[in-house]
Amino acid sequence: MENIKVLLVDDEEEFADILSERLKNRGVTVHQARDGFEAIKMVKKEDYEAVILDFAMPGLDGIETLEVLLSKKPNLQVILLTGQATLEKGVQALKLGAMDVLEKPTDISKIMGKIKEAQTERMLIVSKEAQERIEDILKSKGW
Amino acid sequence: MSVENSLQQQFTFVEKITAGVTHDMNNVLAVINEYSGLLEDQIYLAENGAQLNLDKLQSISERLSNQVVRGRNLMKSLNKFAHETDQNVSAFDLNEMLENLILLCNRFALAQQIELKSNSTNSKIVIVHKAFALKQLVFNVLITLFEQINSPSEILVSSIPNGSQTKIVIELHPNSSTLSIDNFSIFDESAEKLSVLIEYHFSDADASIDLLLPNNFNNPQDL
Repeated sequence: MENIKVLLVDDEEEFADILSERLKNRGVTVHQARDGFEAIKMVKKEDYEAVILDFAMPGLDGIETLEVLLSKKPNLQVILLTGQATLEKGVQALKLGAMDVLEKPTDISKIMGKIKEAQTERMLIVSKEAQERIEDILKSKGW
Repeated sequence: MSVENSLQQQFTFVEKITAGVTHDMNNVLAVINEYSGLLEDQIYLAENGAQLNLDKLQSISERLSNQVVRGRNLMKSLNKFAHETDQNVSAFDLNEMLENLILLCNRFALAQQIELKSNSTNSKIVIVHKAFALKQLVFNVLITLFEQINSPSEILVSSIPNGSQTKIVIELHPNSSTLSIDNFSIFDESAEKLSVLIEYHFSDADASIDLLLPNNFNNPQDL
């Protein structure tokens, strides 16, 4: 997997470090943020194929962070990780536009599968946006 | 307070504690799960020609043990908490109870960017009281305090023996929030039932809440 860059947002430092290492072993470039505020700053500066976001964090929680991230970048692919056994928050996240919600702990293959999906989705969006730009230019030239 | 309200408060207390500890426990399992995966990655790499990094394996083993200790402490705290309802009035070490409560409350403190610490001495302060009800009161005061704090802070919880009375002191540093005593008035009745007097000392710089409780109840039926 080439040129894939994800942002991992989790206040549980040890968990984030090991998951980062395992994703790096699989060719993914991983940046980390410890809370929602830091994640928002990083997403403003960089383009990520996906953001992996923990639900329960100090300050802004996962849902609040998701809302801000998608208001800044509506096409951002956000995968939420939840330790909660109830579905309520997960459903809320999906309604808000999260790509998917995974239960924590989860299998690395599931996360990798979602990252690949996010990459494909992002490529489609970028390609569609490029197509629309070309069409606009052609229209403006009277073609 | 009606019996129904009192029971409702107890359920809420148990529900919050259980939710906090199970969330922390889930995090422990998530970390263990990742270490287990990291070991699998190492084996896979070795099977494909890489040299096994023994230092790394040693480090993973140590960190796995640390997570087991963390999980065991959480489970011990929850188990102790569950057994506190067994006896209505009993003799117990107040410092141990506060340490246990801090561990159980830590998740709620962290969510508000608060560092919750115990400032008690190592010595035992044995009192006779309703451990469960007293813990519920201190928990409710702490949670109410957390909810009013809107910037990173530190809270120190300590116990101070003072003659026939013992004080539980909850100190907030710095006090950059607007604390209102009115928000704590809902606990007056339950404090009175436990013969606990709550004093509030709020200033612009710091804040402290003192819970004064008798060391010994000669007539436990009064409780």
